[in-house]
Amino acid sequence: MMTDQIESASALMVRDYLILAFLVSLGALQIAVSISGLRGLWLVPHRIATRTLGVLLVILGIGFYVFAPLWMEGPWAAGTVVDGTSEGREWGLAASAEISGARNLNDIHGGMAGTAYAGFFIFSAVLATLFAAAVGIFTVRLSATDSAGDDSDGLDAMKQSHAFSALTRSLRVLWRDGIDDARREMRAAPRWSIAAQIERIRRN
Amino acid sequence: MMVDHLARVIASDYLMPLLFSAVMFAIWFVGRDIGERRRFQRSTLIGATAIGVSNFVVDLIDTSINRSRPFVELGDSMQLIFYRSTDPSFPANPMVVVFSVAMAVWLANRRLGWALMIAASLYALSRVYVGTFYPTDVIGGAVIGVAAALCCWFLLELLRPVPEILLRVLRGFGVA
Repeated sequence: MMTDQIESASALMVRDYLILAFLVSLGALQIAVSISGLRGLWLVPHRIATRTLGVLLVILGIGFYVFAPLWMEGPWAAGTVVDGTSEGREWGLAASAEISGARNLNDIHGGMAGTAYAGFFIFSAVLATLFAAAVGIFTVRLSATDSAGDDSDGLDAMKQSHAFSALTRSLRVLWRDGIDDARREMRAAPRWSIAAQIERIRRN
Repeated sequence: MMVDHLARVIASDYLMPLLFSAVMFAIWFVGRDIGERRRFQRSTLIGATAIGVSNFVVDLIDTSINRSRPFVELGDSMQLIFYRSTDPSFPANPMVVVFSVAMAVWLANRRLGWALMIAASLYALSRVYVGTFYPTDVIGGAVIGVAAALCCWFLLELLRPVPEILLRVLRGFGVA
């Protein structure tokens, strides 16, 4: 492949991977928050619908990634994806018989290195969480839950309220109880932990 | 052949590692109460740390053992149905990642952990099938991944209550 073609392939792979990672992260998040009942991160105001939507998003992400070469041009032109190798490929649409090998690109031919896709995954997961938190503002209102008098914090606060209300409450509880909680954790540390050993040496 | 197509999709560099990462990300939010959620969140911390540690170990091994890929050694006697990787064969880096995650999850939830172990083994099998790794490469990667997760679990236990305090602070910012 020519240098400009490798750069185009690389940009295409990054874009499609970001779409895949966003959809799969959002889907996995929906499945998880439907189990734990964190309404503040639900995309729809119903537990079963949230879980179903999560499964569908994961399937959609994988389906898009695997089958998009059939209708989107890239370094997988029909007849050039020989046995899944990534050398000597031409630009075009993939043949259905070669679809399984179309995305298998070495990083020197436009694929992504391990560190790059780890970084892109983290970015997509953060984006998916922010998106769910933003949509959660409306779903919490629709489900008409009442958080008055509720003193839970952290993710637990999102069982009844949206993310931004949960954040302010969590910060308030952290400010009020944070030091006491840290002391309690210190006391609860097992005898063989480094912190407990240091404390024992300090006392002696 | 149908099996070839299936193996090529499963062996992809992106799909299985992404699904394992998504599980690790999702279990951060699982848990019906603080105790259960904290157990899962510790497992995410262990998995993330283990991936970093095991990749460092792989880099160290790569500098001393530069094993060629099976398609280089065996030539025409085997059929490669994947791209020609250029980095060392031993240990299999993708296996290190998926087995680190599977082991970290197993420490928090046996059933999900076993499911991930099976999925990781399927990934390993597909990588050998398509011709990019020897069986010993994937076994080596799996051992390093599992060992890294166990070492990180032990380290986090030794460092208690530092991880708990970290999780408490994150809870204060609404993310744990």
